[in-house]
Amino acid sequence: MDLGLSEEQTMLKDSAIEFLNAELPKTRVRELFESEDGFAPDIWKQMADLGWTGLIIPEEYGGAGTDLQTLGVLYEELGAALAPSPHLSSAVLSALTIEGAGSDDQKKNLLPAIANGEQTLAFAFTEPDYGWGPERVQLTARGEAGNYTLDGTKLFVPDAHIADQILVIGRTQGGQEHGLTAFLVDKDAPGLSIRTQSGWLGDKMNEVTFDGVKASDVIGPVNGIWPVLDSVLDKATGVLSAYMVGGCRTVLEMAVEYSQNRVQFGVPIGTFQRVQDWLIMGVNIEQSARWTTFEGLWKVDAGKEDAAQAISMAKVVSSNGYFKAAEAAHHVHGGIGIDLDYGLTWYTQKARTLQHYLGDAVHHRARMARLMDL
Amino acid sequence: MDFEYRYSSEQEVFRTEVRDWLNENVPEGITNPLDNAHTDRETFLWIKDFRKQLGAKGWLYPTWPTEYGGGGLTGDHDIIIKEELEKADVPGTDASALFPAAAAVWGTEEQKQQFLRPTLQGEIALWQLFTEPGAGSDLASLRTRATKDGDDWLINGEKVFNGSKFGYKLGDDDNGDVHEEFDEMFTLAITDPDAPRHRNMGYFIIPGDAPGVTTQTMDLLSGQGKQQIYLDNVRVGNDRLFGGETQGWQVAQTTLELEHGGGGQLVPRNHAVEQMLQLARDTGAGQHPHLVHTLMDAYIDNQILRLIGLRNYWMYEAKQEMSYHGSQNSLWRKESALRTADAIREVLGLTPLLNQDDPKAPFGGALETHQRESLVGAHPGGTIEVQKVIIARRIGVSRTRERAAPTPSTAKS
Repeated sequence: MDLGLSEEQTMLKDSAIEFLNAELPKTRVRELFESEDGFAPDIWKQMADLGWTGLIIPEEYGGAGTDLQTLGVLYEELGAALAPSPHLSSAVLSALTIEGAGSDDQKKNLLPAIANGEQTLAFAFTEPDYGWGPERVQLTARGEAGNYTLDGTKLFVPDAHIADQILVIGRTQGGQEHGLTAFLVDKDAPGLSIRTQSGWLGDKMNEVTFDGVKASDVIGPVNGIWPVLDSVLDKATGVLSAYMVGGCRTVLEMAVEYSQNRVQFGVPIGTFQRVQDWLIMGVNIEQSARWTTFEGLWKVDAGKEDAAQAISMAKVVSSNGYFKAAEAAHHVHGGIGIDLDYGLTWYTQKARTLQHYLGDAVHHRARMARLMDL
Repeated sequence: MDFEYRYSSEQEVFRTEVRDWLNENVPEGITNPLDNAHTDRETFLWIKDFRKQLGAKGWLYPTWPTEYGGGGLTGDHDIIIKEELEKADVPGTDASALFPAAAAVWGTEEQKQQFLRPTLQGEIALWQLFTEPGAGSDLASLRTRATKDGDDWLINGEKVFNGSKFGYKLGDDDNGDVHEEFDEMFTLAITDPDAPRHRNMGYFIIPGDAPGVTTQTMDLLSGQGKQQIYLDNVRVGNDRLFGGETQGWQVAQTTLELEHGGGGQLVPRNHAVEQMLQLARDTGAGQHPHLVHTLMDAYIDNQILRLIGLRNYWMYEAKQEMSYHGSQNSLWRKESALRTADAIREVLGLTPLLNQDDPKAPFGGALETHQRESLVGAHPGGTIEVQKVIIARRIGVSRTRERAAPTPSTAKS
């Protein structure tokens, strides 16, 4: 047992902190949140140059082939700095689906391009009946080998507006787990329309409408992508939880620092026990999210039987936790917390979206209960 | 990061050795009582003897140095011993580090030989006498006095909620020998009433059978029959003072650091949650969407406690300096126990309130004990609120800033 970081992980963490400190000051975070596409091509390019886009892609396809836990270490830093990027969509969800289900040719064609950042893929799963169970996928795909036409709507799809291709999960047959198939769709395919959704979302998310859209390729078995997808979603959920751990860490740090410096009634407000209660809640949340997440990632890496259950647990804790930690930080900050220049609100905004992405606490509690034979 | 111990073949051989020894030395019928108050006299005497046997093998305090009576074994051996003791469900095998830690950090060489060694060898049992009727959360306001009398100290005062894991006071046995559950008591007493707070007390160790010591069992919700102890002109030698005459507060901090959970926990007992899940499966409660929420949150709550204990164990073994970590363990243990007790009732209704005398009680009444213990356990070693105060200090937001007290893990040797 060793709960410390490896030398490789420490180096990755340090270089991430250095890079993100330099490239992503608070002002840039705000600018990106308020921009139309929320995308920073310069940062994305450098992330690829640093090897981050290929981190978990196998070496034979141009990646570094590291384990998930190491990717989690990076994600914690991305989350701590609120780094926006299509990394999760492209280099995790899409890459792992292709790696897990794609043909040799597809892997050779796609994975190296994802690993070096030349190709960016979005991952389209959720629909107007939002949810992360297989039964929620109703977008219809008709056709036969090599020639499928997609009709329907995907909703809350991150990164579709900046991706080169979209990996779409569609339904080729009725059923729940059975009947799902993964397709590649080119961003310029006729009949495809992308509308970036508007609101208090933490990521730029899109409504993607398919009106007789021809898929350019099928990834994996027709009707049978779910088992692969289930495991891909686990891995992505684990690293997303690590991103949220980073967010918990930053909002806690902000709250602690503010409480040490903000003077009211002649003393720093951190000396008030009412205020301390919120800080302690933050410490508890950050540590709970951290250890459930990293144990979950470790279990996936180690191939433990209860890895899926551990990942769902991590998502329950980080989903609810990030949300509450942000709220606790607002309690400590009072009025200044809602000033858009101050920087806290962007974390809050992120927390409220990520709480749902890849499944909220309700979804993952139910999944845990199923896995535990309750 | 690696969250599990990997056992080498050498360790597995050791596991077999431990298991075989336990099979040979633990008689049929010796199991952990549901409620410590139900330990009978025979079992209690067996426990006393068994602890000596464990101590002699170095298995009571496996990782402590052999020069002071420990096992001198590695953490890997420690884990195996703890796992096997847990499986064998043998009572009275807990190895409290409260006094040993203070003795190791603050004791003189002579004191270590005289008191630490027999403790680690299981030859003596110790009680902690800190709390007083007027000094609970504000421990430093205690009033027990130690006054110099020649080379000795005379101690006078009253201590409450003391020790007694088993609520057992044996008195005279058939041969006329007196058996007390405890042999020694460590306590805090004011040595210099004119000195400022925190620099006015000493940390003493008192023989359990010293003249002037009287005890009275307290009537409490818990099964543990805590004792109220009166100290009336109890005479102890200066060799029984640990640390300087006015350093007692600092010595006690080492004890409390461990009591809060700074040592971590490797093999946690989590029977109540397991039992709740089992009954939920049996009754179909696990199919109810609302109860799934309750069940899973209770399960997760206890998994987080396990992880916090694991984190502290790792930090302790890796000799990392802790800050809020010990108190966070205590806080989470206490709060999650209360939440869990509530969850169990929500899922199972009234049945968890049936005790071992009721034939309908699930698991022989274990859940009823849990219901009471969840509340009882919220106070020892500092209330939930006190843990929060400590955490706030350690994260650097309080008026008072403090670092964790030195423990054998972090003290400079």
